[in-house]
Amino acid sequence: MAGGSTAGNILFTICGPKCSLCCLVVSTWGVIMLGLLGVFFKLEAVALFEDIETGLHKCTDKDHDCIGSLNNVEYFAEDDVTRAYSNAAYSCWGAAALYLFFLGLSGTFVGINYWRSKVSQH
Amino acid sequence: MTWRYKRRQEGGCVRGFFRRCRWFLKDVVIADINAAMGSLFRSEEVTLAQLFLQSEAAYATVRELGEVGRVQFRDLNPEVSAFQRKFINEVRRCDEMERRLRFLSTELGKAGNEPRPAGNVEAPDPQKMIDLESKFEALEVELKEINANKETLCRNLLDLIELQHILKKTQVFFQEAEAQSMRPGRERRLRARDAESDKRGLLVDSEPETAGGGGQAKFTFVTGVIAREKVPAFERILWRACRGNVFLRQADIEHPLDDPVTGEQVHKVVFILFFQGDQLRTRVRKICEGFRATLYQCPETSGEREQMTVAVSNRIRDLKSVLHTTEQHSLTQLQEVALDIDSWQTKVRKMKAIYHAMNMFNLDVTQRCLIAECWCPVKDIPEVQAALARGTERSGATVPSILNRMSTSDQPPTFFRTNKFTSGFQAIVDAYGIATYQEVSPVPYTIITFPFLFAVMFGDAGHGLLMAVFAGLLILFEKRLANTDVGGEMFSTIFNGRYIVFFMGLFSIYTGMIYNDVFSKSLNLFGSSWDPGYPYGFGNEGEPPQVYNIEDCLGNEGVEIGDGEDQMSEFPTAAMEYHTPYPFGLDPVWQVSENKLVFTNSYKMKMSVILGVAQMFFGVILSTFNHVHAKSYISLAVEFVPQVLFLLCIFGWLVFLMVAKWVTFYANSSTAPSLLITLINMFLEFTRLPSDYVVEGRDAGENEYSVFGPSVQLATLQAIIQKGLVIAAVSSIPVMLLVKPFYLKFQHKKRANSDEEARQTHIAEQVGGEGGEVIHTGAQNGKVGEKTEGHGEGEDFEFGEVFIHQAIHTIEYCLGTISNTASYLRLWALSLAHAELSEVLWMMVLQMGVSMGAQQPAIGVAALFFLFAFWAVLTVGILLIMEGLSAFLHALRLHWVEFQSKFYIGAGYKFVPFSLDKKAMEGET
Repeated sequence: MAGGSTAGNILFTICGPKCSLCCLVVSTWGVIMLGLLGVFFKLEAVALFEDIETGLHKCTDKDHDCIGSLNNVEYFAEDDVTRAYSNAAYSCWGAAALYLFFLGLSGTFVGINYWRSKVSQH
Repeated sequence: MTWRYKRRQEGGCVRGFFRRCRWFLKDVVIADINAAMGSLFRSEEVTLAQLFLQSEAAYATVRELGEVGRVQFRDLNPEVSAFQRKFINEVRRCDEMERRLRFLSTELGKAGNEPRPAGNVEAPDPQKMIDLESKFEALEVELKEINANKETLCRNLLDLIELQHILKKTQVFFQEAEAQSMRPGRERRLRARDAESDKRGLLVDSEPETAGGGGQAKFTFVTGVIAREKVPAFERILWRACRGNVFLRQADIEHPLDDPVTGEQVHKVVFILFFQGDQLRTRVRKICEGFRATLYQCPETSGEREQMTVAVSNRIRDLKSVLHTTEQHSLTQLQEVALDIDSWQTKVRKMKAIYHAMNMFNLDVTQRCLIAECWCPVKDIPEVQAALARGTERSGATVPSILNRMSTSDQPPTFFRTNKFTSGFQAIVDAYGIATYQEVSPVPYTIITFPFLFAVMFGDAGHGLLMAVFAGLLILFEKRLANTDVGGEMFSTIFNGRYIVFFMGLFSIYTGMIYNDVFSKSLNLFGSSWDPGYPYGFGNEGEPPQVYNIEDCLGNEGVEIGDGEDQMSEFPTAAMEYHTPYPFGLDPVWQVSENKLVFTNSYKMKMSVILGVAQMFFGVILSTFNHVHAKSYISLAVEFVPQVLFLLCIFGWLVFLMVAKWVTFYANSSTAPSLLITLINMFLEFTRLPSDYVVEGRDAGENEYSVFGPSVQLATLQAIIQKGLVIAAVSSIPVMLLVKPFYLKFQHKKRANSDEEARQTHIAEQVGGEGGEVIHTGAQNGKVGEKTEGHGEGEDFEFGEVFIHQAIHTIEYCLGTISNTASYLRLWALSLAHAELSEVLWMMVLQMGVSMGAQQPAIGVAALFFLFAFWAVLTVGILLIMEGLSAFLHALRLHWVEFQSKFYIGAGYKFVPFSLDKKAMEGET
């Protein structure tokens, strides 16, 4: 085969047909799910508010950019919330892009492994 | 007259209408149901049949029947041992052939030859058996001969190779010795006088040329080869046995040698032993023998050694070429075998199966024909008859084979015609118990209810989607996957249930949408009816955004915000905007509310009870089909009806109250009655009415006793209804318990009387006309059989047994109704566990990455990349596989115990047709 070097052989023995298929599945899932998750973060979905809440600065009535209050509960600055949402979206998309790269990589591995098994059969 | 005429005409019309209705019901609807559900509704009608086969046509006919695979033979001579049967000789010959074929296939395996798979091969004619036998024998003998030759050749070769090595290695020893002999004589002499154990000295003296002096005896030597692992022990024994008078030199052979017998590779060592005298020689030889060392004669002078080396290498070359041709020969032989061996194996296996089947037959008195008894589905009789005709034709017999239907009191086997879709569900039911013959089968309903109940416990659209995609891929590539056996037993189990898993996935998507859970997050598809927006999102346009904590807005359970303005006035108007309810499933806002569990628990608990009561009620209804089929109308009246009453009066009412409570508005939600207390009070406070409390001057609460609304009248009405229901439920117990046994006893008595009369008249008839019935045709046989069966039942009737059986049945049903309803609560428990687990997993793993990303996107990318993979693996491992397995088991239990106990007996046995189909035969062996 083309990559008949020992390094290539070792690489393909480490990531055999099962392993590469597993990677392919996980990265496909990752691309789709993280991509969608990014979209939902960008749309500022309420359901995902819990996920970004931890790092937010809580303000009180006295704070400048917070207006109005309810029963003296803590609330968040609008800018903060928007920034956190879009940051989360960007990191999701970044991870999705990484997974896209790995999708291509594991895809080639699956292809090469398939081809190798065919060659070894004959 | 005219009036009467008209009436009659009208009556005729009505009657015609009814007749038409009946026709429609009987011929169209029922026929349709039968055609559509086929044998799934109840097992197929199977009849006992007798086959008369001409002796010469028997083999061919059985072969045809086996290829059709629609009859199950009964053993007609079970008392005869396997060695006394008629065709035992043929079976033995087949065994012998199988043994030979096994030998051939192991040889093929050794040579690494893949046998060519044969398609479906027919069993050969019995005359061809001799041909096959002789062919296999010849092949076996030839291969064995070749093997023996090869072995001797290999052994010779090994000997030569070892000798070659000895010559090569000992050369070194001798050369060393020669080098020693060149040293000055004095030193040599000194060394020679040294202790015997001085090896170099010994070696020097062993040289025949240098041994010289007549005073010293001549040193002799022995050369040989020994396995490497034996060397240390060998050395030690030599030392001890010969008291150190033997000197050993050794050298490894670098390449492992092939053992011709075992075919394994062995590391060996060349050794040379020097010693003095004949006694030592015999001793050394014995030790060598004991250690299985092979000794070789090695010439003493170097000239002879060189000559020998050349001779040996020449002989090795010759032997190798001979060996090569032998191997070529055996390979060509094996290649020929590889082409045919699979078809031979199938042929022999089929022949053996045919003779096995024929061993179950009976011989006719005249020895001219064989009589077989078999179970056969009624629908397949034409096919079987066609097979019989084919068999007769192919064997050239003159007299056709005859199929004769018989009736019997034995219970026929249970046969369901399944396909690849239904077989999985059938297997689920079969695992509990094979259906009793012609009993209503739960399979058609299980196809829907099983995945549905699973999905109720596994309600997450994301997980359902993964499951459905996985099973969908299995279905898409089912043809390719069916032929390969990848993944072992675990995988093949899932593969066989791929349609079940696919349905489970689809239903989980549905229930996940109802619970609004997608990987524990809610989808806001239609816009929440609660005006969420995240904290600053409330408020009308133009106004400054109001900031609320959602949890505070949604702190109270209850949808009645629009009506309950008084109580909720402290909330801003924006939050209270009441729209139409969320159109499908749970409102997404519940996901972020604090009291989510309070709401979903109540919702899921009620739903489980409703589903459970519905399924149990359906099971009780299915039992009517069994009663009607068995023509046991008494069971219909005194078992089915009270059972329905008992179930509906208690738990049917509970379900009704749930729905009523759901649609009723309670101004003060804390005063809504507890359904559980209501149910318990139905029995405990049976003697009281709500109005009693008013009379007693106690406060009954506005609507404490009524689910329907806040008035004492309504509460009293409800209480009165409940008293009626309790009376109905309780009084249905004695009906269930008592009526049927006494009715059966009464009937038995009546039948006994009439039988007595009948017997007397029968005797009278017999006296009148002698020899009226000599030949029993099948139909008459049946009647006789039925009669005897009737007699048997009548004579065996024992009231105590029947009564105890009925008592157990009643107790089981009544207690079961209560405990089974509680048992359905597992639907709620499991679905709660699943939802919580997936939420925790999200919070512990994925949320970590996202919250990092919310502050620092760069870190978030890296964290999310790894955390997502971790989360995905855990999701599959814990939530999909483990949780899925547990939900599967609970769904299984709900079907086996709670649902099937209402109508399913499962005391049948499976119809296993005699089939020469390859898969069926493999399953048997």
